[in-house]
Amino acid sequence: MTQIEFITSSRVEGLPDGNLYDFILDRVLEDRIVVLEKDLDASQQMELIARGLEKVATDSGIGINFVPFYVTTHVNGIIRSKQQEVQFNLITSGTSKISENQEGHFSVETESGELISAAF
Amino acid sequence: MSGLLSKLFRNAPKQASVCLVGEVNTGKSTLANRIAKDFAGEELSEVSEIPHETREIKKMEHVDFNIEGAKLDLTLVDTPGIATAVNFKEFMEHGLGQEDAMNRAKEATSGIVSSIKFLKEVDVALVLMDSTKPPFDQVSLTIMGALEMNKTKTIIVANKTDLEEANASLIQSTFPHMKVIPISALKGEGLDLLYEEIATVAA
Repeated sequence: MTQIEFITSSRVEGLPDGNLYDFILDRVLEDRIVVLEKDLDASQQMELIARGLEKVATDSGIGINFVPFYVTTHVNGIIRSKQQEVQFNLITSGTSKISENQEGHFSVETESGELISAAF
Repeated sequence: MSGLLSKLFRNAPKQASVCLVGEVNTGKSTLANRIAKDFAGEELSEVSEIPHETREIKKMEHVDFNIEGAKLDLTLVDTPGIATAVNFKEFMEHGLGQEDAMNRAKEATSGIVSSIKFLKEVDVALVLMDSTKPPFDQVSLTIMGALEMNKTKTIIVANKTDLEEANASLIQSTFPHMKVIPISALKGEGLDLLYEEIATVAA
């Protein structure tokens, strides 16, 4: 069964970029939906996409899905205690489908057909 | 002798690489072929309805880009479309068998990775967007962000304006600080404006 794993910024603080990408992708390979609290710039996002293509392969596809989103004090969801806008990143295997139903409210349909919804 | 050489170099056209980047099936190869045909008399890439037709970086060197007095010695680069994932089924839906689909996916993957790495080496990027689709896709936003971080000279090309559902003004309003040139690479429309912009940006 697919699990959602929240990774706080303090948990990955100090990790070199390469180790951070491996840390994320290892979890995606274990069929987890990763929600990472970290401000990834465009260059880091590109590198994560490239590493995902090199590392993540399932029975029907290669790569990852990746959606950055922002949580503020105004958002009513699981994550509510932020004093300022914080970037989170929703990362799944490439064969999952991510759709954003409304701001901060995502549905993920996994390769095996599970449908998981969460409002962040 | 050194005076003659410096005179020759002074008169030599400026060299620049112009690279077509963007998501899959935005018309990069169609536009690359238009530019190559207009300035070098021959095409650069194969074009197909099947996604990821371009699976390796293709270059045409010493393209004599000459437009309204601006002369450039261009290296024209067509790149595989960038995507975060490649799905085998996508190819099977276009009639490929399972093994061919898997091989194509592996080649496509390797092509995307090479495109991503190549972004850092580009002088002028033409970012192709499909103007029949909303430009909010994560891949386009990430490409634009990465080019901005690298301080790469960038022109957004809103392609497929010949289609009824095209909305190039949505692309312009999404990237208000950028120059957006609406074109139809297929019909050859809007290319004069694009060539003028390339001459301005690359000079």
